[in-house]
Amino acid sequence: MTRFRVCVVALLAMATVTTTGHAADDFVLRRARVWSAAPNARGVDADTDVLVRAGRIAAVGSALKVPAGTREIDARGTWVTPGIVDAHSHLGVFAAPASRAHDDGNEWTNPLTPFVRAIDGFDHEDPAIRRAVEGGVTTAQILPGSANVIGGQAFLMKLRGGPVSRLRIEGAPLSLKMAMGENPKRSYGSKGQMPMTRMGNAHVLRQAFVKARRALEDYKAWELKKEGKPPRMEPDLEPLAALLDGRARLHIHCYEAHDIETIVRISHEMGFKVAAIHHALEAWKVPELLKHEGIAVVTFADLWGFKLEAWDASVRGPAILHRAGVRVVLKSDHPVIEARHLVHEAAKAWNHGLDRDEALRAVTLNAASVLGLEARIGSVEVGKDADLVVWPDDPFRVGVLPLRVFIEGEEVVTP
Amino acid sequence: MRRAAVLIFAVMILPGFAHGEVIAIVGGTVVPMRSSQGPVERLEDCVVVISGARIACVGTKSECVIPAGARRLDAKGGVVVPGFFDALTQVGIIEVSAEPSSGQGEESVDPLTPHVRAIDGLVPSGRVVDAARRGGVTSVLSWPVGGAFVPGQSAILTTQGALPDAAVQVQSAAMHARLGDDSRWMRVALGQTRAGQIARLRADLIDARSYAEARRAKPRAGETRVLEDARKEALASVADRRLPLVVHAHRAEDILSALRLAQELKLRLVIAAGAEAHLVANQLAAADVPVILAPVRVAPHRFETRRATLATAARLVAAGVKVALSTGSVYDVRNLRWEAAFAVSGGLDAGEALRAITRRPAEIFGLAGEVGMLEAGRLANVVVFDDEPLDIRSHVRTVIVRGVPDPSPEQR
Repeated sequence: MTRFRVCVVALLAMATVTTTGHAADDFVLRRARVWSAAPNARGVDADTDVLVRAGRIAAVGSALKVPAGTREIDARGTWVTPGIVDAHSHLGVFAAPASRAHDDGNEWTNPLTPFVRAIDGFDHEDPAIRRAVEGGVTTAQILPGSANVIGGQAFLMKLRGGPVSRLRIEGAPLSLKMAMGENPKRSYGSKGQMPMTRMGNAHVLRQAFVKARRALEDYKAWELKKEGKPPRMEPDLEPLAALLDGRARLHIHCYEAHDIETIVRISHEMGFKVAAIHHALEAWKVPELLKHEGIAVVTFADLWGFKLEAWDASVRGPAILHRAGVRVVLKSDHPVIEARHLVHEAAKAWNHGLDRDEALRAVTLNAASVLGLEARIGSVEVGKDADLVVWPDDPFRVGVLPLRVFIEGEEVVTP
Repeated sequence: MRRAAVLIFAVMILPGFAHGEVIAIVGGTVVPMRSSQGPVERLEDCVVVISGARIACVGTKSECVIPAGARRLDAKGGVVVPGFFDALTQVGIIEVSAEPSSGQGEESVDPLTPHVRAIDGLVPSGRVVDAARRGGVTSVLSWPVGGAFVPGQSAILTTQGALPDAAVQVQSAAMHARLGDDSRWMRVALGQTRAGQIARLRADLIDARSYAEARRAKPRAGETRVLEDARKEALASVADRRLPLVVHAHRAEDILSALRLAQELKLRLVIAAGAEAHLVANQLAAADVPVILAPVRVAPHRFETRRATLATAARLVAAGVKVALSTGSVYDVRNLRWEAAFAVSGGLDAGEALRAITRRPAEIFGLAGEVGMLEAGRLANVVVFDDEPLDIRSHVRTVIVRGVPDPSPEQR
C-alpha cells in the first residue's frame, strides 16, 4: 500500500469511528401500514409486520413468524416509514441557542478551506438534535456553511443521543462542501477580498483544483516508479485530490441556472464529478443538463425569495425535476428550516405536484443515495439498518409527530 | 332576519349599486366564520353572491337569488372560506430581502421612527403579493422594515396586486415597537438593553403626551403655541389610544414589561411574535391584550425563544386570550394555513385556528365589519379550496379579492 493510499485510508479511518450503539432488543412491529420508500414501491402495505434483529431489518411481511422472546409491538393503526434522512443540515455547528459562541459552521477567514471539518465544530449537545429525532429524522449530513467557496468536509451522523463518537456513521465516503453564487462573493467581496464576483468564485475554485490535480499527477507519477520520497500532499489539496480521484463526493451550494452551468463546466475542465447541487432553486430550468450529468438536486419544497438567486424558484420544481429523471432530495438546511419539520417539506412538495411516494423518497431513500448510504438506510427493506419511524397517522398530515423512533433497532423516541 | 338579508340584497343589485361583476359561488361547503365563539358554522348547498367589491348575500338558494347574468363559479366538493388575514407581515415592504433597493429600503438613522409609515413606501403588487394571495391570504398587515426599536406605523392592505390607494384598507393601523434581540440598535445611547428599550419608550410616550396637552391648550397671552412635531404627533396617537401599540416580543419577561408599560400609560396594547406568550397567558387575558402569534412554529433556537412550544396558541385561547396566527414573514405568507394547522397539532381547536387567520385579526384591528367573514356587506375576499383548507391535501381553486377573481391562482 502506498503512502498516499495510507494517508487517504487514515483520513477515511478517522471518518469511520465505530459507533457504539446500545445492544438493541429484537422486536417486531405488528400489523402496521408500512410505507417503505423502497425503489419503485407504490403506496402503503397495510397490515404488515417488520421484524428487527440485531439492529437490522430482518423481515417484512404479513403474519411473520418470529423467534421466541422477540418483543411484540402492536402497531395497528400506525404508519411505519424509514427514518427521515436530512442531506443538508447544520445541526451542532450552528447550535442552539444561536449565539456567537455557537457560530462554528463558517471558517470565514479564507475562501478556500477544504481542510476544515464540520465534525470538529460539532456540538452534540445542540438541543435541536433531540427535537429533530422527535420529528422522525434519524440520519443527517452535517455540512460547513456557505461563506467559503470551498467550505470544508461534511460528516454523517445518526441522531441518537451521545457524543460524536457514538453518532458518527461508519465507513462513509469523504464529502466536500463548496458554494457558488451570492454567499461567497458577499462574504469576501464585502471585505474587499477575492472573490468579489462570480468570476472570482470560479477562479479561486479552478486555481485550487489546478494545484490539486498537479499534486495528484505528481503522486501518480511517483507511484509508477516509486523512486525517492513520495511527493508531499498538502492538507488543502488532499480532499480535492480525493475528489479528482473519485474517492470523495461533492455537495455544492448553487442556486441559479447559470451557476449550475458554471460548476458543470468547471467539473468537466478539471475532471471531477458533482454528486449533488444544493438549494438549487433554479434547477427546474435545467433538468436535461442535470439528468445528463447525473447530478442530484437537494432542494427546498417552497422556500424562496430572500435573495435574487432564490427569486425564481418554482413550487413545481421538485415535480418537474423528478419527471425529467433527476434524483430529487428535500432537506432542512437546519436551522433555516428546523430539522424537526423536514417531513412537512415533503408533504408540501406532494401538495405542489410531486408524486407522493417520490416525496417520501425525497427525504429518505433519495437522500440516502446522494450520501452514498442507499445500501444501508433510506427504506424499509430487509438487510437495512432498523432506522424506523412509527407515526400515529399519515406522516404527511400537518404537524404529526412520531410515536416511536428506532435507530439501528434502539428505541430513541418512545410513546 | 333572512328576509332582511334578501331585502338588502335586492337593494344592492339595483342598477347603480353594483359597481363591478356579479359573481355567484355555488355549492360546496360554505364556512362563513360569522360566529365569534363556539362551533364553526358550515353551510351546505348554499351560495355566496358577490356584487362588485362586496358580498351581497350568503345563504341558501332561496335566501340568495342569483341574479340573471351573474358569473357562476362552481364550488362543488370544495370549501368556501373568507380570505385569510396575516396580521404581521412585510408584504409590499420587502421584495428581495437581500436587496433593499427592491423594496422599501431600510431606515437606520434613528432607533425610534414613529412617524415613518409603511404606506409611504408600499409596493403592494409583484411576486410577493401574488404568492400570498395564491396561498389564500387576502389581507395583510405590513409593518415598516428596519432594525429600529420603533420602526413606525403599519398599514393593512388587500392582496389583489394593485397600487397602494386601491389596496390599502387602513393607512395607519398600529404603531410598532420591537423588544428584544431583533431591535438592538447599537448606536443609540438608550435602548441597547431590554430595560433601556422600555425606558426609552416610556420617556418618549410621556413626552408625546405632554406635547399633545400643550398643543391642545390655548396659549396664554404672551405665550406662543407649541410648534407641530410630526414625530411627537405620531407617538401622541399611541399615548391617547388612537393607535394600538403592537409590541413585538418573544420572551415572557419582555411581554410582562410591555404589559406593565401599557397599564401604566393606559395604552391599547397588542403583543406580536409571542413565542413564550403561553407563560403569561393569564396576565394577557386579565389585561385583555390580544396576541398575534408569529410564526406558530418558532424554534427554541434563540435565547429569547427557548421556551417556545407548538401549544402556545392553544394555551392562550384556553386562557381567554384573543389570538391571531401569522407567519411573521414575507415569502412564507402563502403558507399561513399550514401555520394554523401546526397550531391545531399543538392542541388548538380547528375552528379556532380558522378564526385565528380570518376574523380574529380583523377584530384586533377593528375591521370585523369589513373582512374576516363571509357576510353581506363585507369586502368580497373569498377563497375556494378543493378540500379542508388546513388539510395538506387542499389546494386553492379560486381566490377573489375585492370581488375580483385571480385569473391564474396557481402558485408559481
